[in-house]
Amino acid sequence: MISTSASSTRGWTAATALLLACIILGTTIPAQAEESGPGYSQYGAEQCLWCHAGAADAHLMDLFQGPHAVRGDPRSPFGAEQLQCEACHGPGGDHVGPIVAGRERPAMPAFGPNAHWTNDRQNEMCTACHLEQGHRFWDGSEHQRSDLSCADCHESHARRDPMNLASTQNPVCMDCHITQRSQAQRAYAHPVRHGEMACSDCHAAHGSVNEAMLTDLNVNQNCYTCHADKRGPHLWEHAPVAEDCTHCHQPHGSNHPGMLTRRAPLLCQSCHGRESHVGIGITGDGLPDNNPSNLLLLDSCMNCHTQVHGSNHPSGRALAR
Amino acid sequence: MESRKGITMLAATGMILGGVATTVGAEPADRPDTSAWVCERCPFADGLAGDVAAGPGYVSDDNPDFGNFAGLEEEGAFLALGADLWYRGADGRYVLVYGDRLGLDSRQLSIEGGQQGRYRLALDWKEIPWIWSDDARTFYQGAGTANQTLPAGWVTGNTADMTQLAPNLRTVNIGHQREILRLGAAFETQSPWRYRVDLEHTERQGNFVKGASFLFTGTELVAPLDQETTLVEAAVGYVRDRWQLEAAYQVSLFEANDVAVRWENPFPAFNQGTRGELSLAPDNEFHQVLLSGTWQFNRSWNLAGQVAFGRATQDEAFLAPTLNQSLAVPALPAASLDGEINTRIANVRLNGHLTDRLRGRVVVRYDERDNATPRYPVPVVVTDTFPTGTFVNKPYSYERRSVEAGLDYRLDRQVTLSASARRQTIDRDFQEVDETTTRGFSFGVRATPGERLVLRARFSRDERSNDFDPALLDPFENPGLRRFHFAEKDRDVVRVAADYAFTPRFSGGAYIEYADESYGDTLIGLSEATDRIFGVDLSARLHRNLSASAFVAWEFLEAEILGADNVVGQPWRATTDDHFLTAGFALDVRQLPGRWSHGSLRFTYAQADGEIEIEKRAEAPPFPDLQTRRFLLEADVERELSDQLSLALGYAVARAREDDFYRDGVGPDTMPNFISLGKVSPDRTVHVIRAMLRYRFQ
Repeated sequence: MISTSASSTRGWTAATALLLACIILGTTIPAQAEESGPGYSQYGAEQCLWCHAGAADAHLMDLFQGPHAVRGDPRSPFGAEQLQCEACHGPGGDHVGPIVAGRERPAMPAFGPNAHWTNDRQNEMCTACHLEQGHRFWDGSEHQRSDLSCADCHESHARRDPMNLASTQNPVCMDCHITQRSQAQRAYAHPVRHGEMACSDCHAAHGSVNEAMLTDLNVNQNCYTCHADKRGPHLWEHAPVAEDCTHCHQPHGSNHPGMLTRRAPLLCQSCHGRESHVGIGITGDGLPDNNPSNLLLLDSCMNCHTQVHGSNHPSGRALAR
Repeated sequence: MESRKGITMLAATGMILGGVATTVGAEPADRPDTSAWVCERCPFADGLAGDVAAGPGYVSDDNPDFGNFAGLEEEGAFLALGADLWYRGADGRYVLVYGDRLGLDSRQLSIEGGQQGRYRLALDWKEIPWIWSDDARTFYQGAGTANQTLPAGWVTGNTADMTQLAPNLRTVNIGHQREILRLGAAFETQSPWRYRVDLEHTERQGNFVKGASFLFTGTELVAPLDQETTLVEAAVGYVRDRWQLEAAYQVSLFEANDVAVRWENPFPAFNQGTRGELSLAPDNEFHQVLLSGTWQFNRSWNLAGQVAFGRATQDEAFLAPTLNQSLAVPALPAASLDGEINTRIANVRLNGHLTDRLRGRVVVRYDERDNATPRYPVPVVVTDTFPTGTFVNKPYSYERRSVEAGLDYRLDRQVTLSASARRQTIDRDFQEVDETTTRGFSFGVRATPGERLVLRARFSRDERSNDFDPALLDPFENPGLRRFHFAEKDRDVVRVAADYAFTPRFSGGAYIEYADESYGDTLIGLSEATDRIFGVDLSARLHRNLSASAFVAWEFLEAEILGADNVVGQPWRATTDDHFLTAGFALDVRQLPGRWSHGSLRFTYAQADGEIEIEKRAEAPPFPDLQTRRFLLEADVERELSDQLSLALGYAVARAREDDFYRDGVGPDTMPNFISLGKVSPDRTVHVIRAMLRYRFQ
């Protein structure tokens, strides 16, 4: 066991190192020279569609059926006096301007092939309008730190952004979260692969100050949103349950009923080794062909201690009522 | 505590001092005069558009595993019905309608309308079926209700003696339907104020399985499930360019229409314990005030946080300690629990760009569950058979405090390094460990050497210590026990991933992850756990209208649990190994020859093997493997019949097989002292076809 003073010393050492790193690195690296931006086009979207209205760009025209091309909304890119395509793609003066024969046409600064703005800067084009509460925690979030662009997940040209439906959102998340993609295929899992639950039901993709980017403030509050029956408080509590559902459950999918991390009795015996039947190492002797035992088969310990989430029965101290 | 505060302050000071350096930002181009911008080529689509699709479908066989959550569990015809409609007016008014699987128990309907930029109203209806079994069998009269009785003429004894068991068994479907209604409203004005109200009402109806015991005998009961949960969140926000603040009031009301289930004891009654009663989930309420905000000091620094104060209460009337009238049991000290938990949570993050290359952050979290439930001396009766005395409940409280500081440093355009350090302390009540402290650090690198390759690697280590007090361990507990959630633990995680674009149209990725947990002080309990993950991904755009992707992944979860029979008896060592293989491919064709417009083919395969071994001095028969094998192949194609009409055809074949020695071969009378529902592990194949006519509004 580490003493308090020792732990404190370690903490201070780490913090001091961090302080020095911040100061040294923060004050010795010169800031990048500022760049000047290109100008805007002369005619806006009309000019863009001179080239981008062909069959190859047909999918882009869905934009005009979606929320970004609503002329009646003054905040929409196509609202009155807005910048239309350049509201998101940035100033396109260079892109639409004349070019020397044989030279490549300059790319639009944001959200397109060879866009040269950083992802952070491209994202600012979105967050300048999308100020609502769901996006406020973006700066400093895991996704921002991983250099994700809004367009990595969202389709602003689609009439319905795939991130708005569970059935189309989950595959997008799982393009990167490949471990979770496999776990969702397990025999006992939340209905994510069925499209009945979205990743965003539990996780705030735009950033959260909560652990694991949860939408709620901690794990159990997240779970209680759908499993309010487990909230209690109960007369007889099962402490690990009240503390953290993931002590026993694997929420992304498991090989065991109830999405348990492992089967009883061994799951229970990870924490219980009392005298009597509790501590017994159950072997294959309890299988149906031998001496079938209710200490092993079916739900094992939970055949009797069925109230593992807590009991409000006066005689439920052993979680059997 | 002062030490923690100091560390946090020091780290924050460092970041602020370091952040004196300037940040970058391109000068915005001069905003043009757009008043003359008229887009005549823009195909604005005002009015009604979208499509509705309907047609017959057929499921070849009963298959709960396939139908679970999807609503296709029963053999027979079904109506395939869906809609995706939208109306948009030039003034911003709109209505969106989306419906999926409307002819099935898994239907979903979403309607949203309003005026964009001013207000939004939304209604969502969703049903989710969950099926545990369609072949379970029970002998109880009133199965699935709150009062279950034995058949007339019941013969008691061990299951072999129960001559009325087999004749009275009948099939019972076990599962439930979840119905969710969501209503939402949000209002925006030209002012910085924002308002929103969200309401969600969920009903769960059906039944579920509960074990019901008398001493060492028991049965699986089909208990009733009839619950309602109402969630309300009302919020008002104030949004400025540099800061936002929102105050929200959240309410959760849970109501169960059955408070208990009673059943008659099918086994010989000890001490006249002929009837038992199980409590079901009690009604509860939760109220929380949540303040959320962000503050962007300047282009470099921002502060984000949430602070919440909540209260959970539960005051369901107590059941009687026993239904056994022959037992002398003292009166209960109270009529109900008057349970109350106060939660106080604060999560705050300071994030900054110290320079154009260096970013830093500090995250501080505080999470307190203060259980203010009264403590009562409660008379306890063991399974309605004999009183064991009076025990006092232990309202469980905890307090979690954590701080994490991290840096991301962009070495050059191709390499970013990251490092972080963290510390978490948890204090708990009524446990043999009062406080655990976890310290950890991590290092990572993200590199893009060349245009085609992205490499990511991360290593982290956490060490948890505690102030374990043997005197607080239950006297009947093995003194070598260390509960895994607060035992001393070292955890190491390594993850390496690479993505490579072989050509502009063909890319792939591979990843490896290894996690190891070692519980060095544990003699009894979970002592070791490892997790190894490997995977490969490929994706290709084979043609302008043809794309394909494939993946395969393996995961190996292993653990070791140590124990000893009867504390001082024979020691044993158990291991659990869960091995997973998941694979899949998808083929999407955007344009097919002739009038066939598009098609897709998707296949997923999931395989899992669970091995459980236990080593004891005496030889014992081994456990069979736990196995699941599942695959799903789906094919869809659509043919244009006219400008507005098309025919969508779909086919799916699915197979699920499971070997589960916990249930396989365990019939109602297999165990002498416990009656099972006789659920059979799935081993079924199902085919599903559907043909839908799709009409497009244009």
